[in-house]
Amino acid sequence: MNRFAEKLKRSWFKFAESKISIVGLVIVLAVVLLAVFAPLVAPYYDHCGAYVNFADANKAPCSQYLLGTDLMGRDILSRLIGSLRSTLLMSVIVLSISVPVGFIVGSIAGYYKGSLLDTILMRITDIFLSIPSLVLAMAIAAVLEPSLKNSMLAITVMWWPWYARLAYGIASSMKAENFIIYAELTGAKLPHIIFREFLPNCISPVLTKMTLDVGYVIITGASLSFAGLGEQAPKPALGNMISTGIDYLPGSWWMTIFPAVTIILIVLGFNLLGDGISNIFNMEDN
Amino acid sequence: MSSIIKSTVKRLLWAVVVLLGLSVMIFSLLRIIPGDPARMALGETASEEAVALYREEMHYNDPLPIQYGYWLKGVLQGDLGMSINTKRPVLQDVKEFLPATLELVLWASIPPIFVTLFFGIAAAMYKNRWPDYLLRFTGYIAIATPSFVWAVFLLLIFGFWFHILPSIGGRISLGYQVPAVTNLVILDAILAGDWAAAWDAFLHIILPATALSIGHVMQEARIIRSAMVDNSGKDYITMITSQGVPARVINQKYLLRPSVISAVSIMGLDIAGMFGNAFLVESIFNWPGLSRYALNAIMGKDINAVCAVVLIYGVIFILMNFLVDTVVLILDPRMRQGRSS
Amino acid sequence: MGKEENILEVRNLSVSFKVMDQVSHVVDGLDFFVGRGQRVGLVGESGCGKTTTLKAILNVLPRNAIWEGDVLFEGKNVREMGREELNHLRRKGAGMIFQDPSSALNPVFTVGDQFLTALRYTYDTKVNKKVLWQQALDALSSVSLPDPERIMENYPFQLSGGMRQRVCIAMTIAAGRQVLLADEPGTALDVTIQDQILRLINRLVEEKGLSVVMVSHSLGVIRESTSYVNIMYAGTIVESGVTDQVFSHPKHPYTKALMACIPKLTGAGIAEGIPGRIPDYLNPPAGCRFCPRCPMAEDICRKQKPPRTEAEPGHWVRCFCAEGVR
Repeated sequence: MNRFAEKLKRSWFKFAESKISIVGLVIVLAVVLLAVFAPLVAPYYDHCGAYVNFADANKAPCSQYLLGTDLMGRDILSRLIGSLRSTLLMSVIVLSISVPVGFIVGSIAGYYKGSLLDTILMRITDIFLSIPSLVLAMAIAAVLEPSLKNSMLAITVMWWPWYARLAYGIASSMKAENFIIYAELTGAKLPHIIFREFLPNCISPVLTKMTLDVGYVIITGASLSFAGLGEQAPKPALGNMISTGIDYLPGSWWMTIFPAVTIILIVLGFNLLGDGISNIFNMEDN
Repeated sequence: MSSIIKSTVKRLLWAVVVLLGLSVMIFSLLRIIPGDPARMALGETASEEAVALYREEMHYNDPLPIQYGYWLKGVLQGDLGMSINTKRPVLQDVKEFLPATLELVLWASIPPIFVTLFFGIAAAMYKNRWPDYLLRFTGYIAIATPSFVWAVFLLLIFGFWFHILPSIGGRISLGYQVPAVTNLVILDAILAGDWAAAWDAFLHIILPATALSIGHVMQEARIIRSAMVDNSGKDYITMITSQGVPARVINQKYLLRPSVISAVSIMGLDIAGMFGNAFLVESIFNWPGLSRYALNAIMGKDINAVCAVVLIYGVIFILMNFLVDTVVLILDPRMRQGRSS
Repeated sequence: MGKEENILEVRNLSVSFKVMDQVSHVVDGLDFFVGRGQRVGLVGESGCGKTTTLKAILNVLPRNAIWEGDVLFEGKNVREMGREELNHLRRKGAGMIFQDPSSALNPVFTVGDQFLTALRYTYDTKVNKKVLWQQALDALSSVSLPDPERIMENYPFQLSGGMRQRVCIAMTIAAGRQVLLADEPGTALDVTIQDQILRLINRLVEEKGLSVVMVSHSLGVIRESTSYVNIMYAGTIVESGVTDQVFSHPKHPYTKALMACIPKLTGAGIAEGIPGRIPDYLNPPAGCRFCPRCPMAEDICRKQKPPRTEAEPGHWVRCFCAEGVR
């Protein structure tokens, strides 16, 4: 317990060494708390749906509506807070599916490096990597019905190959190490080797990549939503709020600018946090 | 030199394998959609006989692998099917819209390379002084901003607030007649000697190209900066410094080349990724390119058009990676041995 | 010129490094002298600041280094040199052979490219490329490298460690520098090659009449190839004198311990190592830096730095307790 506390303290020291990571941590914590307590925090939570009040439509930021209202008279601030849940949910779901899938595919291919199985698995991975990710995600989202769920699916499909590559690199270089050979000699089965031997060695690079990927998933999700392939109206999403607002530039700038700034802030927060976390791992390696 | 050729041939072969895999994937995408493809192609009003005839004609009754064979043969001959939206062969649409996207991506990738180098080197040379801090600060923000958000900001600032640059007028102002040679408007105008048109077209491309490239520029500049800072402490730099070679020569040659290699290898991925981001940027700036066309196709469930664009972008992406690997091979002699053995 | 015709003098040199928010005091009041044509050894454990000292002589310390004291080359202070004088020093005065030949050559340029660039600037006027090329070929031949034409066109990774080390030596001697700073030559390579490299350096030094600073952690190497030796511990010269004299009558407890570490063929088994390790440079001992490991340490050793004292004629030692000092 003491050693764990010691390690935690050291990690925090390394993390906090760059003050800017703390800024990231604060932003991320704020975003998560806002998302969790959205119904309590948002001034008009019922505006996150098919609410209409034309009397207050298209209002500039004022004391009643801090960030203004949209064409239906809905409070932009409440809708922004309401959109955080789906934004965070998307990165959690995408990463929690694509990371294990990618890890297992990559480590199996790496373990059987040089075999037919390796060639097949890694070529499939290469094929997925051979299309710009957003193009592929859009094509998949196009075939399916546009919805939040399907946009998550589309992003997951294009995300796992990166982790397969990462795990493949580590597994194939570890394969020839003595302790793996020893484990094989003592009769260890494939699952044992993958989860007991490869996994511990993959954790730090995979976690580093994951923390830096959260921002990218959010950007990709927002892009899909901007194209109309994500969360559907009347539910709020950062991308679709911008694409609606863009037709009313420059007059009703608040409909576009505030969601845009929100995306930047969230992604910035996760990127800074990710940098800080990768500092912890990088220093441990040295 | 022969090791370069050997590894090039090997990589070309792999590129072909990946392309074939890609075609299988796209074919599956075409067949995944629910419903009868023949009925969808002909519409609700077509007679049952016509649909049956069409089905026979398109080999929809054959087993899937054979269908794939026919489909691939068609694609290789330039038959990408008909577009439901435009009621024209998809190939014709591609020919019309691809040059605009190519021109955009070209301008978003080649000139920014110099900006990237300048920023990266400046930050490394002025490490922990204000140019470095400025780059780091703006870099964090620029990287966190999706390109469609950049497009919105640029549109607002330059299109609406300060009318300095054209923002939603397409590739060139009305009234200019540029003879189509390459279909890259700026190049065509220059070839025709019409400098006014070239300048006008150049002004049109600035905003969308900036929106596409700015995040990548900052990201790559950061990579170059940290590589230069890391490498400046390496023995080989100390060694050549101790031999009395001027700092200018060391920085511009012996430090720069090993430091740009990692940036170059991600630059290729980034440039190819721009085709994806172009979907949104083109539609914001009303840029008549293939990506905007594809976005409309996605909205209209024009599956032939979507698949054609995915295929074309896949091919460009694979070619791009091939090109980048070759550049890296030239820059980094160590890779030549690593790849060929 | 100095009274003893010293080509190189290092006086009271201190170098510290900023590491994160702390300062690591590596070299601490170091002094030694190299006479014209003299071969001087610098011995010590790894991490005692030998490489740092050599880098300071050429003013190529890393950016985070802070240094004090004087390094005089031909009577001129390296720290006060302008760009021209510094270039003169690096191009024609002294050259360094780096310890690890695998990292000393730029991996993405050919040997020829790097060699020619280095050579070009040793001339004040522009010299024909063919002349430079020939000069480089001659230098490569003089370090016994076969097929120098091919080596010029090779990239460093295409050469073996020994060949790379020879290339580095060739680059350093080609321009006719007067002082050779050899940082543990060959230790990164296997023993037989190390031996060849050492013999090569000794041969070149003989032929060209160079002055040498030979850095090593191996007493055998120093004994064979130097006439004067400085024993270095944790950034300070603890003992110095004519090589034979120091080896036959070591005065400082550290030198004695070092000698005891050499396995003797006639001795009984392997000698003991020196207990303890090099001090923490972040918080070095206030007095003598060897004192935490010293069997003879007294109170004064912990409080004061021992001065440089002549224990017997021409044999200097920094110790309060050494024989001949008290």
